[in-house]
Amino acid sequence: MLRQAFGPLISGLQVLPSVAWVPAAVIWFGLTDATVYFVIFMGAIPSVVNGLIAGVRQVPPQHHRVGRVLGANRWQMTTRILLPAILPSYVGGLRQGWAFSWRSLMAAEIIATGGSMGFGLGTLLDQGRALADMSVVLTAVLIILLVGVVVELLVFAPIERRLLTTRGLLES
Amino acid sequence: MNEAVVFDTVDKSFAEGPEVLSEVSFDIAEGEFVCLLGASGCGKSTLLSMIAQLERPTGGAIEVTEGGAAFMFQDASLFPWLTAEQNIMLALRLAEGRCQIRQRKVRRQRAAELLDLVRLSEHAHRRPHELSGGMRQRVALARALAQERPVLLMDEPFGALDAITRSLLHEELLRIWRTTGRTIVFVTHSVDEAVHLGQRVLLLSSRPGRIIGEWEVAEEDREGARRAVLVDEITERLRNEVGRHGGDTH
Repeated sequence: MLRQAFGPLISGLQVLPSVAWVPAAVIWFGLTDATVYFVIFMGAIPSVVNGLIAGVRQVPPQHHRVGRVLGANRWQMTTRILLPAILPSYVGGLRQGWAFSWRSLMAAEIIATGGSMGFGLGTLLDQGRALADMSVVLTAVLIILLVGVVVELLVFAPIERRLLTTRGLLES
Repeated sequence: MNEAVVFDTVDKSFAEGPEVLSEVSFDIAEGEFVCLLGASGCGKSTLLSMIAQLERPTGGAIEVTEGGAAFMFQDASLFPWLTAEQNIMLALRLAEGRCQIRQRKVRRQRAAELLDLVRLSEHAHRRPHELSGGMRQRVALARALAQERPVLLMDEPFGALDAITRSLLHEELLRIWRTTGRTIVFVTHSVDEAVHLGQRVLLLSSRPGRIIGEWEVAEEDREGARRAVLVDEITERLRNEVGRHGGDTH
């Protein structure tokens, strides 16, 4: 039901590049950090919600039956059975959401600069382009890449490995 | 003796499908061990689901003693993210009412007792995928017992296990039944298993399911020639029933 109601909207939002939100965000929030937060949020949220919905769809029906025979009420069914069951899918959604939002942040920083917005890697990249300084551009690209790899290796990979190992879905 | 489960001319059919159960009537006394025997697809599992209130009858009436029934499924159906101990502790937690929440320490102690009852104390902190099929079923049995319900429903719980493990678990189950005094309704398609475990065997026909045979199994019927005679008699009846419908027992 959740998928039917929100599925097409969420898929549509996922296809829409979050950079498309930059002009609207600038009009709403001006050249402030709120613009960046908004674009990041719009970039991440479809993937996170998609992960959540996919997780709910993949919960084996037997978990529901077991929950019922164990006497779980609706709240207990959600918190003790459904949420733990969908955790791997949810983390998968978070991981994808992080990738989208990181890309969005860089794009937003390139497009919208000035005002009270801080100086970020995207701004550095844009500055390198303006000065036609290839070394600055390549350094910025490498740092952006490095941050992505480090977050993947230090945050998402260990969480996913732990989740899958404890469930017997990955050799320890 | 008080009745734990009463079926009074119960019918069951699913939307637009043929009738699964028709005019099924039987009584099960408190503390009795009853085996429900029948070919695959004859409605045995549906019948158990109705006792557990997972399904509603389309006709007739079902009475289950106060406290309801615990259910043990064919596969252990343990939650893979919890250890053996945590699976049992969750069942203990869900069995508690809002007004009588026990302390975590008390639940842990009770879980330890139950794991001891099924001889799995040493494996309390293992997750389901780290246990063998037989061990998983023993955890599932401990979890079912954790609910402290007077009736225990078992849906072919040992069907997927090898013969040696199954035989060991039969003895464990009989020991636990004698210790706890629960009413057990055990579904199987194995005549040997039914005669070995049950005090009474009920035979269910196929399409629609009806009770077409009932045998009392005395202690002396479980061994030697008397056992062979009883097993042959029930098998013959089951074979006739399967032949009539062209079904199978697997």
